[in-house]
Amino acid sequence: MRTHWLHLGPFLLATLCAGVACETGTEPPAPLNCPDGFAEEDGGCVEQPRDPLVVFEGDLHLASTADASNFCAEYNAVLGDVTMEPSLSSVDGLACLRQVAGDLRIEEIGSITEFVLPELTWVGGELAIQVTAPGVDEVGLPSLSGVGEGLTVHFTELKRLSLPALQSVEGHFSLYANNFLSEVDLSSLEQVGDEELTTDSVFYVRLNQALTKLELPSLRQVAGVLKVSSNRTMTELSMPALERTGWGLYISYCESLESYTVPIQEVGGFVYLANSYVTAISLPELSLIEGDLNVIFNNDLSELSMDALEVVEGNVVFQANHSLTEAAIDAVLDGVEVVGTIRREDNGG
Amino acid sequence: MVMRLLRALFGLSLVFHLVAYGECGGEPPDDFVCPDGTVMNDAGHCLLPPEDVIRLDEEPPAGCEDPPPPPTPLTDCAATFEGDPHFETEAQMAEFCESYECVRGGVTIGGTEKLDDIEPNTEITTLAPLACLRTSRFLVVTQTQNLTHIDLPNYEQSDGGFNIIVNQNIEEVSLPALKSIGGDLSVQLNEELTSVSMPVLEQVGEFFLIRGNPELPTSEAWALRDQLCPDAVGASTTIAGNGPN
Repeated sequence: MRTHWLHLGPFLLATLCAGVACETGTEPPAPLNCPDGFAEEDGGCVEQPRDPLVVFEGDLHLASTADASNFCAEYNAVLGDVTMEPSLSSVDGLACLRQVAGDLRIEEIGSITEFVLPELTWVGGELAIQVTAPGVDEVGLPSLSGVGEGLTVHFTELKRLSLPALQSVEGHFSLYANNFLSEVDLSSLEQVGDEELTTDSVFYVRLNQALTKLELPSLRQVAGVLKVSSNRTMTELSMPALERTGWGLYISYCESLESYTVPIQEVGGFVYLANSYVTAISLPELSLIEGDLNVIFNNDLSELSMDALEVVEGNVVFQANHSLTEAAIDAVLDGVEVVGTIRREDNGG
Repeated sequence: MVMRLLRALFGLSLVFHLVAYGECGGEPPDDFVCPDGTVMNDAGHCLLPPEDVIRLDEEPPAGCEDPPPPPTPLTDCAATFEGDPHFETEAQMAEFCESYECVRGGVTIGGTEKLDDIEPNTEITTLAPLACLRTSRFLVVTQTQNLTHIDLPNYEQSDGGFNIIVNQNIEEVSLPALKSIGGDLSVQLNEELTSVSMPVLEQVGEFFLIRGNPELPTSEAWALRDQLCPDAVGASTTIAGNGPN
């Protein structure tokens, strides 16, 4: 019985508090849990002014932890490139780094085991995370919100990539041939390429053999081709906010993928769908394909939904979809204006 | 008595946590307004405007103002093979060149794919009998053991990838006519490779990868990359794990 009181007592008191003290304002306001960099002001969390940028003008070569510490003693930004020598054993001393106007190349860093730059918000050139030597399991850039020229992650041993604040990559984004990568946080990524949708900014997620899940909850636009391909163990693909790609949509050779839904509305170039074991594909809001529509080599595909499709400005190819009936293809193409030719071969009966 | 006191303290502690962080704590008041110059986000926190970013003010090199247009398949081939030829011997190459100069599909040269492995090729010592070849959907040279030079003097265009991967004794790659690669340029894991020459190469549609060739000077790999305009590589450039300059 005493034990019951131990549990019920706080519950009753808390209920009293919630029902009486908080509503009547007789208790002092509760403290807020403000994030780092914020302070409580007038009952809310307000971001505090940052230290001004102090820019090192030139390229920064880091060969030792002392080089990193010396840099941070005076600066927090680089108007040039940042490169690291294999002799650099830790990037802890580079925690101050906030912006790089040129390239940041994380390559050949065999002696580093943890790569986290907590303050980095911007890389204007190429952010290249491509290491051949083993050692680093995780790359974490928790504050990175933008990349200019391009972002490459091509890192044989990497297991976890954490870029939770990344919102835009102005150039290309290549997540490519990471054999052990199993966890990717790109939860804030909205855009690859520019707003004008110039077509040379591609987003490739290719040949990541351990990546079972790709979630891009905020991705709206890719200016060039979006290619999700040859990720052999991928079972989940989620892009619930995707509206448009400027030059193509390519989902192929992810041989463990069984179904996916993408609410994309327009594709500026071609659509290429080829996954041997996928059974259901839904592109329910897709209305315009400015190039070709290719649905090929989906051996198990039996449900294909493109109910909003109105125009294909190129050719249409349905080939070697052995479980997709001709009636199902008829239903997809019913009422669709196809400017080019239609080819249907070797599909289901 | 002590136990009762401890229980009471424990209970009060829980109450404090509920008040401080539970339903009746941790939220800004309803009439809270962010200070001037800040904007409230979804979490109810007031954010400063984003910091201005620093950029390099670089002009593209002369002649590189616009990205190159995508290549179109060659249309002036005298004869085009429609399939995906695989060459394991020089005799096969010679036979091919008696009738064709272009390939609609992909060309593979070297090792033979088995069920779960690739059997290295020891037959091929030269690609001279394939000198006729001008274009293909892709081209792969892999798992050769006795080939020392890749020399395809008339090869102009790969509509997809161009891959030279895992060749034990290749020392030199010479593609004097190769102008465009639609997919990846991939030169990887060739232990004896010392030189790659593609003097008229203008564009690579996807990835530019020169990696893991320990005898190839890194500077030579970068020289090939720098011969292309900055925007002439569609995806990323990886030059790593090659030899010293």
